[in-house]
Amino acid sequence: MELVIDRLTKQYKNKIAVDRVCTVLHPGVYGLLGENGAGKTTLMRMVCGILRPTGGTVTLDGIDVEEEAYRAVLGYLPQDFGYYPEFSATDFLLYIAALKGLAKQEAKNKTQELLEFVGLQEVRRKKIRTFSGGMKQRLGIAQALLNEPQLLLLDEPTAGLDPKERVRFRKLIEAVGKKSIVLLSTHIVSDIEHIADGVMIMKKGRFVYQGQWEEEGGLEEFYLKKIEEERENEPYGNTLPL
Amino acid sequence: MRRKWKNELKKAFEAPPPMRKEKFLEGLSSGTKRDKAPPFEITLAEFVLTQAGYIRGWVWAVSALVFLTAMMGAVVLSEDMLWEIAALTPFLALVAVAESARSENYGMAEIEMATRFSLKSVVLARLGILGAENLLLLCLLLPLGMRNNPMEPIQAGVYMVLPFLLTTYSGTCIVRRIRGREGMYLCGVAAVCVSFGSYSVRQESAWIFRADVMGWWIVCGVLLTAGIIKQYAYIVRQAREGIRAA
Repeated sequence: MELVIDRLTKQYKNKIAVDRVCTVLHPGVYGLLGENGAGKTTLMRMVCGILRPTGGTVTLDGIDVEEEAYRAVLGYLPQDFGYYPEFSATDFLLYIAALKGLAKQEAKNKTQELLEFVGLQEVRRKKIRTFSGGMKQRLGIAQALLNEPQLLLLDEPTAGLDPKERVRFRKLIEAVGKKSIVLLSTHIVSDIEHIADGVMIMKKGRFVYQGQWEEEGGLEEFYLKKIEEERENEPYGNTLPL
Repeated sequence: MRRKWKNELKKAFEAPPPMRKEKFLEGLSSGTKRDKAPPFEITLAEFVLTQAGYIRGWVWAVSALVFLTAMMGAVVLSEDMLWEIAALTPFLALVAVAESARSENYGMAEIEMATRFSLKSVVLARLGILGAENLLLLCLLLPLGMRNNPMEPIQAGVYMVLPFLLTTYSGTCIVRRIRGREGMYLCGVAAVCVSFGSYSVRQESAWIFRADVMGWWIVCGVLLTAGIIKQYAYIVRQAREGIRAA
């Protein structure tokens, strides 16, 4: 299984949000690190197919991002997501399961399984509007896993989770990463430090580093070092001249 | 000697035909193996039926209320209900526009766009279901509107449908430009204005309902219908092409 991102670009008027990004990913966990405004969410959205790129392509085993077959094996957790106010946790997962094309019985089985897994079994009949931020985030993770995705994209997935939940989340992602490609965008370096097979560091729309890291001080130090190196090297940035 | 036995055994027992060969080969080439069989997939028709189940109850309640009001007035009270029905149809349009914009209004659009059936299919399913429901309802309302009114069916139909079309057109223009709750409030204001306007203009300017002016009404109807189709085509295209640039 192979995700190929080839010269992916997103340009808005006089700003380039993602600048000819290239990478090839195989099953495993990959961290996408970068400061605010680096282009991580824009990149994630293009890889999901929910934002049309200005240039470049994204393919999974040769299937283009715009095809239904690509979305059929995709799991996505956005940075912010809403919910229909009348939905309970079960209703929400069943609804998303229908959109993912799961048959009724399969949807029920997966919903039950995932609610247990993310620890929401006891509140499965309660309305989502009564949930805390962490509970909503766990529900979001559950919906991303409904179709056993081969490509799992998570944008800031641990926001709102307490430390115990974050440890549990890391174990889950590690397990999923054995068979699928997991791309995890985060500010929290510790989320990926012990589970990522590789990192991609993004700055001003470009990858300034991709691969494994070898740093005695840990990933955070490595990340800060790379960002600083890039800052020293760049003269102008990526804003187009007016 | 061993080879001879092997060959004889091969001749005596025929190997069964391969089963799920393509799947097995796919698994080898991708380098991964699923522990379970992939989930059974639903058809497009099944998907549309599930979407019907998710249309909110109050949408059907508004339709039922409009129908019952027309029925009460026309059948029970034997009143001329044509203008009252025309004043109520904007609210049918309002609920249809609100339902079609629901994903955006509740922040579900991003998740829905990344699923197999995608936001475009969700919007089209909702539009199809509510469009069919409204068409059926208008067909049921027409004879009720004409029951105590001597007007010709085409003329009555045009007067009844035009407020619906005007509200739908203005609502879709609004939701394309203004997202979220603000857009919905403005659609509500538009529906109330059209409803009030369609009822009061009958009292104030009866001349525009003469038979010789009918042609202009039909032209307006055709233009509004074309405008609605164009607006919904934009909405569906936006749902397909993803999030608009900030």
